[in-house]
Amino acid sequence: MVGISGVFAFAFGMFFGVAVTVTRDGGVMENVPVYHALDKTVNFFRSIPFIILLAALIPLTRLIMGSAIGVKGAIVPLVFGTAPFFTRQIESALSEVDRGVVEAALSMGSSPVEIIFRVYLRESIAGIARGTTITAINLIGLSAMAGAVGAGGLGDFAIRYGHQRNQLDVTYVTVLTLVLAVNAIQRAGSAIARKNSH
Amino acid sequence: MISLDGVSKTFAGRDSSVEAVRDVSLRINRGEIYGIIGFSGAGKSTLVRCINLLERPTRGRVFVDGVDMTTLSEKELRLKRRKIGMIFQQFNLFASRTAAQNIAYPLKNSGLDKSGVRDRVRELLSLVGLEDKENSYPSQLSGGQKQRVAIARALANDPGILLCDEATSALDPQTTLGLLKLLKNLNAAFGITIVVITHEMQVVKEICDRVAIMENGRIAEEGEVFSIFADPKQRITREFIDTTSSLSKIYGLIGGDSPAVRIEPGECILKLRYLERSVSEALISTISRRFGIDADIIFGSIELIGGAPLGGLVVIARGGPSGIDAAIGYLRQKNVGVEVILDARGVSELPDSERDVKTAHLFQVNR
Repeated sequence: MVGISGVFAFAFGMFFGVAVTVTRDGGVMENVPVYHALDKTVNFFRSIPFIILLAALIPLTRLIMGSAIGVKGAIVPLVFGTAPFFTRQIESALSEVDRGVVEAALSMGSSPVEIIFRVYLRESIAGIARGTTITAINLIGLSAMAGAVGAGGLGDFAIRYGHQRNQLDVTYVTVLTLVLAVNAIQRAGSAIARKNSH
Repeated sequence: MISLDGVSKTFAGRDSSVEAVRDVSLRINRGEIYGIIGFSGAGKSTLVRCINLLERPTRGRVFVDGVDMTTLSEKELRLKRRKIGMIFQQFNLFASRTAAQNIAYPLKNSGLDKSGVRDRVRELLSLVGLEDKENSYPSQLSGGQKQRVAIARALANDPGILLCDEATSALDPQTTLGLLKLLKNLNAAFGITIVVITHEMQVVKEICDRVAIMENGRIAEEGEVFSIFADPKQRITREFIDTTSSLSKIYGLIGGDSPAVRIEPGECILKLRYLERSVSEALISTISRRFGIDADIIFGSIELIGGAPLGGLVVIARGGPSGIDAAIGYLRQKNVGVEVILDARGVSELPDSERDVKTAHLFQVNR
């Protein structure tokens, strides 16, 4: 559940994060109407609490996945809940790329597409790794709510067995598992970021 | 050859617009080092960006080697830009790439294969004297080294033109000189046309053949560096020249009533400026002998600009009033600019207080 929605959220977030960066005023593919449309859309989805998004997206989820419950039913809302957040993370990572460096690439005859791949993305690998780490951890947090549509998962497990059956040890094991998982992700992310900072 | 024809650039803001460049026309010859100098905000950086169309002129046309840049398609423009190198004040290197990778960046579409790129990068590194920094990241290089990498990167595709936007402004004087020497050598070795944007007259003096002085988006004055220095026509030009010459310090000294410039009754302070390329006579000795004057040199600044001496002296002249007048006449005849900047010849009988008033007055008139 986390894996599949993570891959989709990464792809969408990356695409829209780059799009927001290059279409803004003064960007290499400046297109202010597109920028505003993207910007507003991202803000719109970012303002909806995930548990509400989960319910609100049911018709769309059913349309895309054929079902609005279970793991299938959780993936669409998880992507919608995570991609806008990741878009902002990418946007912030790319904004670290100095305007002058982009100008230098333009002066050497690079096309906008080349600038996206050879300058923006290449120069901000460290920032993207950090943003990805934060987003992945965030995604794990959101997936705990997926139990609400019957998708199971660790959150569901902790509530059902730990809370409702009052098996506190189950809750603690869940917590420990999550701590270890998040720790592993954070370490990996930081290592990639460090390796790409010069 | 670069030719700008009535170029203007206006930046439209939300409620006001800024005219950064106003109706500039100039020609830069092939193989020349051309300076564009101005204080910050004069529009010089915008102007240089109009040459490779990083800024598209609002009006006017830009010709590079006879091609009107403003009519090119995006794709043609990108191809053209590969033949116009550019370096920047902040170097603008790719931080995530090593020196060699930075230099290899523009070679991606050059048709060279991997080993061809490697050879070319080595060649460029040795051209800028950084053979041993191949694998260093920009953060491991000094400012001067970074700019050398940037130069190598800008030259990767054998451009005929190199645009330098304040390329030495972030560097210390020593490093600046080294870099200017490199640019001069590149110009001599490859005949590359160099356009230098700067706010430092020192840079112009050091390497430029011709210079344009910009103010408020316009070109105030333009010409050969020697003649501009020898005979500046505009106030802004004189201000720039004063920044490079210690001769202008004399005004500060007089204003501050320094003991070095205090004169006795009957004496006067003269500022002599050499205006011609041919000044080689022993002028001071000549006026001493011929007019019986003691000339006490308190300041001097003679420099070679474009291979000819240019500069001047500040002297305290002492002797008979007629002698001084005759000497001034003689010097002017020899094409030396003479300026009496402090005159105490007619004040010998005045009490001290009034003398001060009079010299102060004279100072203002002659300044």
